[in-house]
Amino acid sequence: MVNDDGSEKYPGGYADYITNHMRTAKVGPLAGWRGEQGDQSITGNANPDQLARYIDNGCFWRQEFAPSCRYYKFANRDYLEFAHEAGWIGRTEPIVMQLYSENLQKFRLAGLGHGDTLPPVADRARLQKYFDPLPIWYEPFSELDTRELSSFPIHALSQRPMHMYHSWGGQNAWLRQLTSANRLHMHFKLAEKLGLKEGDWAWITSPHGKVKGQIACVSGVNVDTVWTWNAIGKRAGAWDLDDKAPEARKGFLLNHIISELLPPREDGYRYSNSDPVTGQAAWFDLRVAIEKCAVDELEETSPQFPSMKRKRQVPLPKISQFGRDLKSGEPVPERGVHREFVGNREQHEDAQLGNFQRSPKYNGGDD
Amino acid sequence: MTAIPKSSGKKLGLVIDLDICVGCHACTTSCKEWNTGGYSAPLTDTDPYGENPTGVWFNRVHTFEVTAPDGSSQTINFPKSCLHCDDAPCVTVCPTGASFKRAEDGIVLVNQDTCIGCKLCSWACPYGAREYDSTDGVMKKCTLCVDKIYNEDLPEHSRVPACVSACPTGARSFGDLGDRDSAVSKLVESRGGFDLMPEQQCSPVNKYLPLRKKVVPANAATTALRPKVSGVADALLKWIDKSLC
Ligand code: SF4
Ligand code: SF4
Repeated sequence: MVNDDGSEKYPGGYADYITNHMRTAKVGPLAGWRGEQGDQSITGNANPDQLARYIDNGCFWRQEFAPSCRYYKFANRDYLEFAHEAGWIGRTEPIVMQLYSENLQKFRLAGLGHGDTLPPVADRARLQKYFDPLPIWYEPFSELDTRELSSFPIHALSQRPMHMYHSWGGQNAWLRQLTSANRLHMHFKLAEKLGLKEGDWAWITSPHGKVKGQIACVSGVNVDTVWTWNAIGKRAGAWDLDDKAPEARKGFLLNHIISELLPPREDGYRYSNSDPVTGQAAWFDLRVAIEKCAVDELEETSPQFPSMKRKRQVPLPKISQFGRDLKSGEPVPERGVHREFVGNREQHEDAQLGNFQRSPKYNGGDD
Repeated sequence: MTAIPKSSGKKLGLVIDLDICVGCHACTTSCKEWNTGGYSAPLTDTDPYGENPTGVWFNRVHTFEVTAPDGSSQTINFPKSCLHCDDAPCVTVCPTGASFKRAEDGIVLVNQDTCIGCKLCSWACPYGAREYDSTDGVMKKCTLCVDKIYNEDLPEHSRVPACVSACPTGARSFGDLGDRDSAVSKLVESRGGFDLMPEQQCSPVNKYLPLRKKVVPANAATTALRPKVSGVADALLKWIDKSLC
């Protein structure tokens, strides 16, 4: 991001950005210790010491909802007012889940030629078909071409490992010991049919391209579907990992074989490969063919790209002894006493006991 | 070579519910976080950003798939850490007394100052629960967070092992398994908790709770997945059902 004169808006990098960026007045990426004095929560101007407060508190800031805000949130006045003030929602009106969506119907009517603002003629049929005011199921676009169906008979999905759900960071020395390479999980029966066994390398091909990966045989999956962990595979050098890291040599991404665009329409226009209403990328529409690699093929994922070589500030450590300096010995006064952040359920328990300090709208809890 | 003391009767340990565990590794990472600054600090990692990252972990989750004779299969997530055995072979094998069992609560610990790194204990433990730190040249292992469960700097509810604090599903319980009336003992009793590999005769304190029996309705194969609609007040539901199908 840049200022109007083209200069860098956050020269201090990400730390500068999460401290100082505000997407709208008084609303920024971090909710705790806002305001110049750090005495405001959720909304408030930027606080130059905000990150230091997070560090003091083990990276956690928390605030409990007042009991009156905790139920039927879609129609709970206290909650809606609070959420509006916090900048999470634009209005305080109840949020009603509509089985019949008038908004979608408006788009469809426009597609049918009603109203003052009309969509381009070429897009009208699509509006009519997909902007249905009632919930519909439609066939994935990539499956409309039946020739492709027979050449790519297997569904391929990806999901994120639980332990990496909130940390994709491949540079995390602990998480990468849990998963540093992913395999393509397929049912034993499918593996047998394809002449594959555990650990074999195979080409996974879609109409868009092909990627090489290693097979794992399981029984807890549909026989016509394969899946793999997402976001484990990385380009060599990414996250400053060693070029030989399994993430780059064995881990693979299905992203390489998912097209961002659908095949061209008659006039050459290519729609995005996503749900027309929500814009959600069609990751799960992927269909593939799988073929065992030839014996003389390199046991390494493909495609490979040149390493993202960067100038390292510090050489990669061969050993990490995080915590050695914390080992008991003389107490270090500025570190304060031991605290546990993950399991700190104090406020929660107080809340269950009904032992709440009430403020007019919500409980401004600290911790 | 090191004697096991006469137990005071108190046996602190974990009860792990295999039916609930989803294999998320919250317990293993929290364990590492607490203990890398605790009694056995640090929990060394080697080649952390390289080709073959490995390290010391006191708690590991292994995930298995089991296929029953009828062809149905199940995934089992099996968290494993030291079971603080009553008849701990890792203690009796220790030539220096570094490996010991506490009389007051049954926790098995290693004294890093007298451990000579001979690894006899890791050979003796049938569960593979010991973790050798090749950088420090000493044996390390689960301490049951001895520096947390008695830590008066922490609020009382936090005085449980880090893995128990972290588990989002409540698959891990902590308490005195020597006390037949404790909540953990009752849990073991009511759910048919069992010892891991009893044939090894280590009398582990930690207990595991089995998977609950899967109930498959007899007509499961023929029951189509359709909303069940009946009764007079359901005209609207019927209509919705019809327009969705
Ligand atoms: S589980 Fe292994 S290390 Fe722990 S007490 Fe038993 S034998 Fe010793
Ligand atoms: S934190 Fe709980 S659910 Fe997650 S792996 Fe550990 S025991 Fe299982």
